[in-house]
Amino acid sequence: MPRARSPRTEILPGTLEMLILQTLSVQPMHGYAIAQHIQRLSNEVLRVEQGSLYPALERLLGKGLVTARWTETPTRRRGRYYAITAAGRKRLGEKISTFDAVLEAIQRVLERA
Amino acid sequence: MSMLDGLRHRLHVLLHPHAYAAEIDEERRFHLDLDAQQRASEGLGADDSRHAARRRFGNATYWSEEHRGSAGLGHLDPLRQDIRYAARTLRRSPGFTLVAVLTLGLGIAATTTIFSVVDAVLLRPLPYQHPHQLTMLLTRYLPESGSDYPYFAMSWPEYAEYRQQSRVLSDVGAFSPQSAILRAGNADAERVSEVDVTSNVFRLLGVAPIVGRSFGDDDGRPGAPCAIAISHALWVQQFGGDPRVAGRSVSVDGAPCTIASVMPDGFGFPSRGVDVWRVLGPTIPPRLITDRSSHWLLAVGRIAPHHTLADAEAESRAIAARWREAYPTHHRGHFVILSPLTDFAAGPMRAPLTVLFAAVGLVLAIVCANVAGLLLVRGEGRRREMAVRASLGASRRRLVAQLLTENALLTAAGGALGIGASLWGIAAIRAPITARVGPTAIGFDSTVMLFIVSLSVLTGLTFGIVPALRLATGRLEQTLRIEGRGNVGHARRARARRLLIIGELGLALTLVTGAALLVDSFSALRRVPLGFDPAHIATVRVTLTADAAPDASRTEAIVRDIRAKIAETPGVQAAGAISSLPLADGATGQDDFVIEGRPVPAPGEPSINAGYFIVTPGALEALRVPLERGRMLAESDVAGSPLVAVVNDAAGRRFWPGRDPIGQRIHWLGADSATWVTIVGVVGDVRSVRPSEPARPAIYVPHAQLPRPVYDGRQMTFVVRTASAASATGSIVARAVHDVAPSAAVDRTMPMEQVVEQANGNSRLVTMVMSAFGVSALLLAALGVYGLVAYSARARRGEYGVRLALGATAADLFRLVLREAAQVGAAGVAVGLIGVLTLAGSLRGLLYGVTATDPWVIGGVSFALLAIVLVASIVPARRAARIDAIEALRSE
Repeated sequence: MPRARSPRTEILPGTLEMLILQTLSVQPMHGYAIAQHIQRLSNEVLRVEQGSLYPALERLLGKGLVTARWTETPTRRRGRYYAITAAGRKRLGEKISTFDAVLEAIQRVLERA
Repeated sequence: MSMLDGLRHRLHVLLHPHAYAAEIDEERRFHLDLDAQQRASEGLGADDSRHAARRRFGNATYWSEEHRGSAGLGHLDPLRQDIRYAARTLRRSPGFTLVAVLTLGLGIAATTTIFSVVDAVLLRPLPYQHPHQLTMLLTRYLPESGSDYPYFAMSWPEYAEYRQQSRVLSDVGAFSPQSAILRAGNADAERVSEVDVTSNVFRLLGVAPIVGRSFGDDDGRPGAPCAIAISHALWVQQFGGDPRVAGRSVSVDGAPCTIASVMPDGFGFPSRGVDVWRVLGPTIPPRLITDRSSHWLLAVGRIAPHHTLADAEAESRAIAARWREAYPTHHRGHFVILSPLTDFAAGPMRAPLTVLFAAVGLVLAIVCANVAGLLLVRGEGRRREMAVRASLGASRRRLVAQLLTENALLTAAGGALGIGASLWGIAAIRAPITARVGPTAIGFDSTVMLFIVSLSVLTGLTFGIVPALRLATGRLEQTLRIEGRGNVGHARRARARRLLIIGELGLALTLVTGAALLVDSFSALRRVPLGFDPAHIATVRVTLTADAAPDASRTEAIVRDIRAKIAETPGVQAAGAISSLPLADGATGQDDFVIEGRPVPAPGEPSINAGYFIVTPGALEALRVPLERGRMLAESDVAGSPLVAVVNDAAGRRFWPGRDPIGQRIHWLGADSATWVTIVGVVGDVRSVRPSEPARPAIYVPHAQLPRPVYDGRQMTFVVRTASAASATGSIVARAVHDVAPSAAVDRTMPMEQVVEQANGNSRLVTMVMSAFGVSALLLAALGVYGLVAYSARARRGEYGVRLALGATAADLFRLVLREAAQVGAAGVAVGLIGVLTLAGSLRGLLYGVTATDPWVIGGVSFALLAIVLVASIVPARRAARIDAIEALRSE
């Protein structure tokens, strides 16, 4: 039996975490809402599979960049809400600058080509 | 800050895996529900939307595993699974598990117990500074010197000269072990182990007292007040650990002494258990300071930095040459040798302990071979299970990990059992060892703990590696396809097991041969004629204080009164006192003497000397030492009467060959007055040092005629023969002593038979332990052989069926199986013989009356081992013989 590979994502791994952090910097949300938010704001271009979303959230939890808490939703259900931490905000800033730099570099290569 | 939060999260996951997994599940359901709601609001039916959501969600199990994995729950799961699975499989084969764990545990426990003794007695560093620089100085007598004792003490002039002349030794100190009677204040007189030391000894050892001051050179001057140091144990016991004890005055042997210091806990010199150290110097009789031939001192020296023991030995040879020139008579074949203190401390237990440690290592090796064999068999039986698991997706790595987990569980269980059993073993062995070596710190301490853990791990690796590797590299798929006739590689596996068993048998043969030789030696020792009859004799050692017995006549009177009191007791058949007890103390001393009518030995000739004992009338009679000629010492031999002595046969043969010693006269060299002593009797030889050593020439001198100031006669052992059991007599003697001399100390009350047993002591202990090991080895080997033959016979049923079909009889099959077993046995014996012949030399030092390569013993053990192999194979052979041909062929 073939060995399982890590879950495929449709966007680069580090990027997903950056998007999640950005989403949470607006307000705390639960997992589903985060996915919907990203999907909506990107005009359905970026679809976040839950197979990538929750592992990414766990990683962020493990690094202490977000915290999670079970809260009552507006519809009176229990949902796990994630909130960004101060360290998370700082990291977000760093990731964004790096991302910008990489993006610019890729664009230059593509233009050159 | 973020690190802390992250850490807290991960810790939470680690500590509450189930709860967290439930949280994840709930989160997933939540997500699913919301997604379904979404679709429903987009216009799908409730069920459809649920299904669509689930389809989007993918393989639930797979994604939840991924989620858990990223949460860090993944790592522990396989391990926990493995452990649970391993425990279950082990539980399912209780026979195997029990045998494996039991043999492992006992093997580990036995090894650890022996190790704890080796550690405490041989390995632990001595409580001195840089102990490897310390060396003992002893006198070595070669046969040409005329002395019977190859090793002996030094004399004061020799010590002083060596100290002055040595450049390689930075300092040399001297000491003389004794025992003394200590009385502190109004407390009872107590007999303590005491050592007289020169004032520089503690400085030489590099140990400072914890209370009080060190000895200084002033303390050693003649006429200086008596100063002592006491041990930590004595300080706590007698003085309650009072820090103001320094400066207190106590009575030692009746004389007042000041306590100068208390030595640290755990310190002992020359061994543990010494309570008092008195400064040597002020109390030495002047004669001993100048008498070169009175040997009573042991010495210890420290090798100077940048020098080695070899340098010191070369120097001692140079000094010996110088002394030979200056004193040719005295130093003929007689010189000082050096012996590292570390060797000296272990003493007579070194060789036996080494042998025991090697032996127990062999036992453990046999245990490992057995368990490895068991695992191999078990592995065979599980090939199918492994193949199925592999086909279900388990990687080879997981399977091997599974096996290793099982082995680890077995090892852990065996180790745990080993810890428990070794606690018991260590407690059990402490007493016999302490009786032979003195107080030791044998216990289950951190070193032993470290040893047992490492040993368990090593053992687990040893027996576990082979079967695990075998499985990891085998071809699992083949097993599923070629089921019944899965004999591919069978021959290879069978060979592995056979090699293991041959190895086991070889080890067992070596071990059992060693044990048999020791048993032989021990029984030879017990049959040795001692020269006296130890039955029904009570011995009691009595020491008189100097103030109760200030001179020879007082001492003699007290001893006589005690004897009279003992004789009054009903049931006493004979009683007397002797200065040192045969087999417990050896001779009291060894001195040179001159034989009348013979010239004093010229320079370059061997001197005439013999060991001597000081006895009262009745002592030799109580011991039932036979009188060969003449008469025993009598009550009439007192101070003022003609000086007499009795010699033993060996002395007669040595000094008056072919003539009757009776009537001959001798006088002690160096005696105060040149008075002649007449020999009046010849008694039988008594083995006084060790049962294994023949009797040496001895001279028995009456206590009432004490000519030897070196021996003041205040310490005598009373020997009393009664009709009844010896144990009751001891208290009678103690009472008699107390009546006559209340201040005297009474100790070492022992039936003479116990003295003999203790003199044989090491042999008995070593023999018993080795026999236990030998029996275990035989049992294990028998088990191993049985397992091998049974399994092999069962695996070859098909072959046997074919043979039967081709005309073989049941008897043929029986013989076939036995013959194979015999082959394995013969190979094992051959391997074992190599081991025996290689290791024979190491046992030589422990054997008495038996050579290490005794062909009868070796032959006997080999024969016995072969017999055991055959007996172990009978049952499987019979089962093979009863195979039904058709059944066997059909089961293929």
